[in-house]
Amino acid sequence: MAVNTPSELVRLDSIKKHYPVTSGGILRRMHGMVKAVDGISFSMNEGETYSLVGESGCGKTTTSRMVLMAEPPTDGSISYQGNPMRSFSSSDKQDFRSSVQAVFQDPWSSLNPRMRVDSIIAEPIITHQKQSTKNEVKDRVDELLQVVGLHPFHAFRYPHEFSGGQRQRIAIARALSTQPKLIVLDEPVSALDVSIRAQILNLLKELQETYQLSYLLIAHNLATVRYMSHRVGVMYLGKIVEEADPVELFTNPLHPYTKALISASLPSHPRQQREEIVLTGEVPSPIDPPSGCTFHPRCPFVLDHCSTDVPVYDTPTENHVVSCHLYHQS
Amino acid sequence: MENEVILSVNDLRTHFFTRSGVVKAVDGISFDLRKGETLGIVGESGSGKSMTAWSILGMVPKPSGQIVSGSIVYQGEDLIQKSEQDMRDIRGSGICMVMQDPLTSLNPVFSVGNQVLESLRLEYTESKQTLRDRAVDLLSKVRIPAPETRLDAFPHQMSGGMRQRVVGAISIARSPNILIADEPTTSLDATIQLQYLRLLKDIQEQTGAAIIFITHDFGIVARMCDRVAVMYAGKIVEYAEVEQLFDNPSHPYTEALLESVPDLDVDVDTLPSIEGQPPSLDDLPDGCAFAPRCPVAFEKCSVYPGQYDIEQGHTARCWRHDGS
Repeated sequence: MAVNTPSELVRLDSIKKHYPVTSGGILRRMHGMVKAVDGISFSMNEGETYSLVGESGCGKTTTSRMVLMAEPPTDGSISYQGNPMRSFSSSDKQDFRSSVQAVFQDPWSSLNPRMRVDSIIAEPIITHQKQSTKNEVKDRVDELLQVVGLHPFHAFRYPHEFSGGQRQRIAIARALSTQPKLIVLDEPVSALDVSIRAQILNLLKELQETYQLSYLLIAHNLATVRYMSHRVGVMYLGKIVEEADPVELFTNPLHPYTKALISASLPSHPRQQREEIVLTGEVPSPIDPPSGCTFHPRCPFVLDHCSTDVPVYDTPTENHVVSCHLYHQS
Repeated sequence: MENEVILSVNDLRTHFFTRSGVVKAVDGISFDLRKGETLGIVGESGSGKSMTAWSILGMVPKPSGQIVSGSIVYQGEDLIQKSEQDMRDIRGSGICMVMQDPLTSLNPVFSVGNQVLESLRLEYTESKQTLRDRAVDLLSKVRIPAPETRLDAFPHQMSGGMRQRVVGAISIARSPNILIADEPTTSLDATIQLQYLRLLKDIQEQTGAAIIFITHDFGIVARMCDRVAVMYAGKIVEYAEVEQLFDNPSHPYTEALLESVPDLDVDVDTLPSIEGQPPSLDDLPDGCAFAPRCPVAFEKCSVYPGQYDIEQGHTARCWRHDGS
């Protein structure tokens, strides 16, 4: 479903990640598979942000772990700059690992409290650029601290001496230290104070422009996603159900699940009324997902064949992909 | 009477005496809560919003935390003067905390019925059967289908939404007049959050309870609240009806905060952001605590500003509104 563009950086092709559910000690028995990610495809361009949205348990984080090569996919292939990860040599792997980095949600637990800021930021440089001298590393740390809006004297402090926003800046400096091409942002601002969030989002945008970074953004706040992204994928039970540019997606959502997500987001003014789409029931278990369209038990617009036929991807308008029987012209 | 004041907080000061100095978590706040209304207390972490709730409930961590002055008048009596025993009784039957996270606030080893009955037994001395009927009634009030059979279920047998309803049922078991909803900082999924907000509205319609909603999210305020108090560094910097606040934010902090939140329906290139960090409470500046981050600060701001009327029912603590 993704179009090959010259600046494509990462491409996922029908990626699946299934985890076995087992019991017993010696005689392990398999009870089923948790289909955390079940056949998703998308591509990410250089210098752009691709966002994944969806409720917890829909497979967003698992997808990002596979992109980071922290976990191999069960099926399908991920390619980086046109080369499939599967066929990476060990030096390719090393190169790849220095060109992807991650910034996590909680800067209170993602920074080692017993390390000084300079060693936190220098660690990836020392690991990946072994030839650097001590002075080079030190200069780089100072430069990075300034890039993220801190001061070189902060290098000698410990994480507990910083506020949440400053800690997230340190985490970003660490991610930038190896001059990556891709940074996975897993809920980068949701643990921060409201007055700090805009600062960090703006910093991330600036850095993207300066260094032509690609971001894989995972966030549940749709307004943040709209502000940051160039392309958005909506995930439900391990599948991408709709993909479009943010403006198109949020002004003209097609999939009933996307509509429900948008209707559940909070208003920006007390007089603003959203059409509220109430989803019945709960997110089904990914061990035994519903037949046909996995969303059909909760869908307010369910059709007869939704429970039997798996919907295919359609492109009702340009650059807008949706997997729903409502929009399928046969 | 619709406008009857049921809780009146006057010049409340809750301070913490620590080795590194006095932390003024709540520093002279006053507000009224009227019957059946929803008051939002908005602020960042460390603004004193949760400590305000804890002070009302008489749960300030002792001995380091103390209410040093002020009064909290509920039903004509000052809650600060009450004994621990009296407060235990008021918590639950008069003022009750609603937990937002249903996964951690129910005990996994007791049945749901057991946990609902626990609070009912505190209020009523009736036969087992009557109490059970009351519990069934409560569960149906929060719209749990087949409440009779659900009473014997354990929390793990219920879905997240159902558990949320059970927690709601427990908090209204002793028909409190005031519900305090303190939102944890880590956010829930939007759909789950919406369910919770709907449940609270539903409970409010059925019981007529007033709600104090403690949050950092202006979206929740816009959706839920009738009136809002914006807190910064232990003080209420702006207090207004919800539409007044959104239409005419009058404190620079409120203004900047409202602008810095991304909007789902509008495209912007760069969000205006507030520079700097929230101040540390044990080392506050003498004047307005927001002045170091304020884009419109001037000389006067080194003195603490008084409270100025903006319009009927709308006040702000900012020198810009000083008419003299």
